[in-house]
Amino acid sequence: MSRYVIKRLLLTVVILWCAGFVVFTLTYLVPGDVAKILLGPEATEDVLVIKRAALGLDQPYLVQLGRFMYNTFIRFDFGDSWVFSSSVMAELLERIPRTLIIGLSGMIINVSIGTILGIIAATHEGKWQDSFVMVIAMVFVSAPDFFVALLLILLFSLKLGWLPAYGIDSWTGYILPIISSSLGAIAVNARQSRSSMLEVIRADFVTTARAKGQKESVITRKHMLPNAMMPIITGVGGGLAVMIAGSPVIESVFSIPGVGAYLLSGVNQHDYPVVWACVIFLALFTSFAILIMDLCYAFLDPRIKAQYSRGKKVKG
Amino acid sequence: MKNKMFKKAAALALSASMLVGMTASAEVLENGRFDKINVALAIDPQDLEPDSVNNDPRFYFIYSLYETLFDMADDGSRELRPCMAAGYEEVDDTTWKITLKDNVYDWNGNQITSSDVKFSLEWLVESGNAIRFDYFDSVEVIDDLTFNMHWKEPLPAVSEAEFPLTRALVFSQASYEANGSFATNPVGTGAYKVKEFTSGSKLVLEANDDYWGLAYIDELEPRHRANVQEIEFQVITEASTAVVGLETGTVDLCSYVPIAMMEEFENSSLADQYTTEVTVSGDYYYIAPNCLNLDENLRKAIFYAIDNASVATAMGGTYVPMDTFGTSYFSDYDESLILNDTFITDYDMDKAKEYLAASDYDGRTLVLLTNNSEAARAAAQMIQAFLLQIGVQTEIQSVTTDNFETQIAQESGWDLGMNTIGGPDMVGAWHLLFDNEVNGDATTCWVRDEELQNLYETACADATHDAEHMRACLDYVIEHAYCYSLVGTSSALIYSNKITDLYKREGYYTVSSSTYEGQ
Repeated sequence: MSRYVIKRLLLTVVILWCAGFVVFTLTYLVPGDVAKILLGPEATEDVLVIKRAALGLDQPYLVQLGRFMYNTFIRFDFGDSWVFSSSVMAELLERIPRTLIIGLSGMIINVSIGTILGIIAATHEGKWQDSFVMVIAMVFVSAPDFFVALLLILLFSLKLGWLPAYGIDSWTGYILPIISSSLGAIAVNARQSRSSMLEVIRADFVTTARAKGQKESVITRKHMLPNAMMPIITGVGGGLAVMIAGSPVIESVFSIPGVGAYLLSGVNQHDYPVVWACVIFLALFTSFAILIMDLCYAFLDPRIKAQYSRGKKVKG
Repeated sequence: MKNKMFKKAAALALSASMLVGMTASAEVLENGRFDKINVALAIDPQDLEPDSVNNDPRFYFIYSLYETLFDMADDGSRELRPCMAAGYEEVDDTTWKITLKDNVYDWNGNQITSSDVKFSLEWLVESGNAIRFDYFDSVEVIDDLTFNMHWKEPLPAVSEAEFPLTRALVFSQASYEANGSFATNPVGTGAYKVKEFTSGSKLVLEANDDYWGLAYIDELEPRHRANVQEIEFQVITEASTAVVGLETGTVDLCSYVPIAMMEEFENSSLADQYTTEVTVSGDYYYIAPNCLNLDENLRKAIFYAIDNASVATAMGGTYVPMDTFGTSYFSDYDESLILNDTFITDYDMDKAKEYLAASDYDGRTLVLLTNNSEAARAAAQMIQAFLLQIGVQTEIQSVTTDNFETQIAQESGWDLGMNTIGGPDMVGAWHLLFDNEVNGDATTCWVRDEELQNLYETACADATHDAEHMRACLDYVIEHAYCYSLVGTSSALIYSNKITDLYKREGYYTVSSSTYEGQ
């Protein structure tokens, strides 16, 4: 098992390297003179030459790429922002916790509420509970994040005055962003959980358990849920990555200075070191989310665990 | 027992309410300053380095932290006023001898000397952020308080020295080297110090009680006054969230409220608590015809066929149709420059068709070149539809801003170019549109016209820079349909009635120098 984890971690390094190469090359190919965009039309050619040299844009592609890869993956330094003079790494480290608070809290809410709603809907298939959950899920799947966020602001900040509409002055500032970012994911997870549960609800082993006189709650918890969890975990893992990657929208609406808002400002202002850093962070985060998801598979399914063990024996 | 507890609770509640009442009424402090004001910013300042003074949103606070040798007059008259410098003397055509005031100190207590001026200007040049430094050559230190500013060639007008003298922020070399950078921990000389800075979230400034300028406060421009003890700039990127902030009282001033939302503050109970103003920006969209390809009649046909009010609507809620080549934002704007009864203000399909019939248009498809912003593309599609109504076919080409400039600098390959323009004043922006020296010996529109050049230069010259001469230049441009002014941007500035007189420095609201309730 540990061998598998090490292998996956090494693969993550390769993924990050590839993500770095792709994002650098794409930004290099974006048409336009970055120095001119940064300094505006009033800048003279002399000033533009100085700016290009200061940013290293006067060097050939391979030199720029080599410097970027060396600084990023050997020195762990993304350099300074092109628009502002602050260190991108320092800024990113300050922002990552805020994005993670929203993403991870959203995921916890998503797993706990979404899965329970899906189980309720599946175990009450065709009844009003099922219809109610599915209608609610359909509404939140269809409603865009930013729209839900604005509605929540109007209700809880403007009308009721219970929660701040923006900012991170206190922990209460995180409540609305977390709810806004998790509602869509809860809806998706509820639908996924329902359909996974329905697949196992009529399985032979469930019928056998019922015939043995097991309580329905025990059947659900011990027999149905573990067998239905695999697709749910896949959905939750992917959903977490989407939630973090989709943070620009929620962070913009609630003015949360997180990674998403940073990425958005980098893209809008052609501040490529910021874009590179944010994309590599998102790739890193997604890789870890998928790794944890794979480890959960092994934890839940003895067959997968046995596969890892066999691999170890063969190679050992 | 219960009764006793109730009495205690009532007393506590009464004390608390009295305390709250006292706090609420004590908004003007003993030192005469208003206690706190909250301002919404649409854009994250990200760092506080002493550069890029013209970048949004830095111009709202940067002069409260750092200062310059001279100030460009707050009232928009574009006169030089002494700040750190006591004055200057012209030694020869290319040398100014400048003397510093002898008591300018930064927040760390370091005196600003000639060496600091040299360091600050050279730092700015090396960082690649020294725009409009064309005439600046070097700083030669004579002694601690005196230095020579060398120009590369004689200055044609003092305005050419605007950036080195009034936009280059001067700071102490010792403080900069001690901090390594001023990105998050700046040390300026200004009337406010940084109390708290969280990139992407907020910047809190606190009045500097040891400010060197207090000794000269009546001589310095009003921007150096600190009428508020604490200013909190909150980064709220989404306009609708900022509006909620205004409505709930956590924001006192917001300058980027969409016009459509202004009504909420004018026709409701909020009208008693807030003041609303429509602000016009200094940037506007123009259409430059390629005069080598389009004859005068065809240009007039095209311009009369465009309804810029409809184009503005298509571009979104913040755009308004232009009525001249400039807006009230510019210091040299005058109502007599509004081009009534011309193709700028009149949409007339009949006239358009008449001019088209008289033109040499042969049915070919014209290339409409535009920048690739969403608003520009929407405008281009509307223009395309209007021109189709008179039978003129167009093909839209959306390109990046610098590709636009590269393409429009060619004599062929385009027929109409649409982009934004701005500047310190109206004639400053006209350089790109009317100056025959932009493309060698021609304007951006490839016009080679001595009369236009004379009128433009007369309008720009210090002695004749007035509404009469500017109008003469504009009339000539309209007569020959050399250019079209399309749409500008506007938004609503909404502020709490705590501010009784909102001060504006060169058109920008400046909360530090404003007057407040009770002052």
